[in-house]
Amino acid sequence: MLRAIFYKEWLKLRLFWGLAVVVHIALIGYLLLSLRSTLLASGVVETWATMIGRDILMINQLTYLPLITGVCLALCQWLPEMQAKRIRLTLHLPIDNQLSIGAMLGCSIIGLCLLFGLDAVLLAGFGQVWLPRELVWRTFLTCLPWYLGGLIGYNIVSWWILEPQWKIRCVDILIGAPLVALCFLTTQPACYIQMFPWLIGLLLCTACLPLYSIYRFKLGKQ
Amino acid sequence: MQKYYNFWTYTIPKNWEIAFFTCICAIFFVPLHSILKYTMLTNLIEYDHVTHYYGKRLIYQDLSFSVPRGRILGLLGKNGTGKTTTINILSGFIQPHAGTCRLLGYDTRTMPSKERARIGLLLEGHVQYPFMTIAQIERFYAPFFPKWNKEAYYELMRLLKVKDYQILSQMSNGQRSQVALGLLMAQDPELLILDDFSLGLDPGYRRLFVEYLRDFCKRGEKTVFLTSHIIQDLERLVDDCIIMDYGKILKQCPVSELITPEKTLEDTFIDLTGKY
Repeated sequence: MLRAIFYKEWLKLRLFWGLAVVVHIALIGYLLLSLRSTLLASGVVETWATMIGRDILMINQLTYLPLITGVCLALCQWLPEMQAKRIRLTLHLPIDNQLSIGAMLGCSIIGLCLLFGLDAVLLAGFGQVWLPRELVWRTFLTCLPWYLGGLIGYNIVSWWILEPQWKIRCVDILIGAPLVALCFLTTQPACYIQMFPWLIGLLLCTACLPLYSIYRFKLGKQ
Repeated sequence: MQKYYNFWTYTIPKNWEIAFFTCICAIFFVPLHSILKYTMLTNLIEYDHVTHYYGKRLIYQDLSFSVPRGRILGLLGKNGTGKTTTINILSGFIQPHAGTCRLLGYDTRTMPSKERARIGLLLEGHVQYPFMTIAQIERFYAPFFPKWNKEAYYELMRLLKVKDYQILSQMSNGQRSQVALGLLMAQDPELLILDDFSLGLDPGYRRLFVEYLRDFCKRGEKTVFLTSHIIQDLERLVDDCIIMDYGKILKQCPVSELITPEKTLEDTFIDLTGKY
């Protein structure tokens, strides 16, 4: 039965996933090419010195891409379900409601992790050709909160869309927006090292919020 | 040495005997209990003294009715009298403020999820997944329902002359209604709940829908609870009828009692509820 849920999600979101992979590869490709052109123009030593001395990693264009991806995914996944309250079709299936909605959320989170993993592999794989390992690691630590922000953003927007009452939706946004903003407080390289456990905790907590909205939907809140 | 009959050895069961008989009783009793419970269940829907509010607005108070096994019951009422609310409470999407609602003997609030396979639900406007094709939607639903009958679905699709690769969003409202009906027939549920099945259908598709549904229900002794705002359709389809007004039931009886040579069901409906 879960395979059928995954099948439905694939049919609904395959265009989104195709587009998202293209956009991510294009942006990472652009970042790597611009890094290469800088290395060629300024020389390797000069560029490394700038990156370490001035704390510039040349990946700032990547900052909001994971968040935009997460938000767009939530919109593409849940808006069709809330249109004409189509989610009732899923809730009427002879399978536990929390399990079916959890599977829908789970396959999107796994999809996002794979997509973000692809970004990490491309950045680390090609970055290692031109940069020392320490700088690649520093780049990874700088990006990580943005990617966590993408996942948290997905959870928050899913929570917001699935909430059946507009009044509570406004409250959701007031709570959710600062939580997402926590991941984007600074673009200074590797500033978030101390905060990672908290951000991961926040991610796990926000993952339960869409299930709470479904619980409220089942109570008949309108 | 003479053996004496020892009362305690032969009459008091040993531990393994107790365990054995307990197991036998459990193995036979549990399914037997379920079978008896189901066969003795005469009302597949029991709506018992239900009161519901939206915020502070009372929709209805102390509403009760039941749908016996094998009957087709139509709920008639003006807009805003609580027909869709009733469907939503029956489907478990709304919890009433007071009273209980039982489907197939289970309280809708605590009904085991697998029992939903025995209930077919048609949402208002024949809502389905518009991004799926005829074949994909059948493939999606099939694993959920143990009695899934693929042939019943494709038979109806052949009648409509639609292709397997046609996407639902590119189909007419009438065709989509038949897809929803085909899925219900493939599911082969014991109880069908249909919310305003005639919404958006032209007379031809309404007739096709009603005839197919009627044949399907009579063949399989299905129990149906439906709402519609087109009274002529109900005349041809339902056995019993509930006429509802704001907050109360005006009449509940077999349709045959409401139709006379002088009066149609629509005339009776207007007499009871008023013109406007």
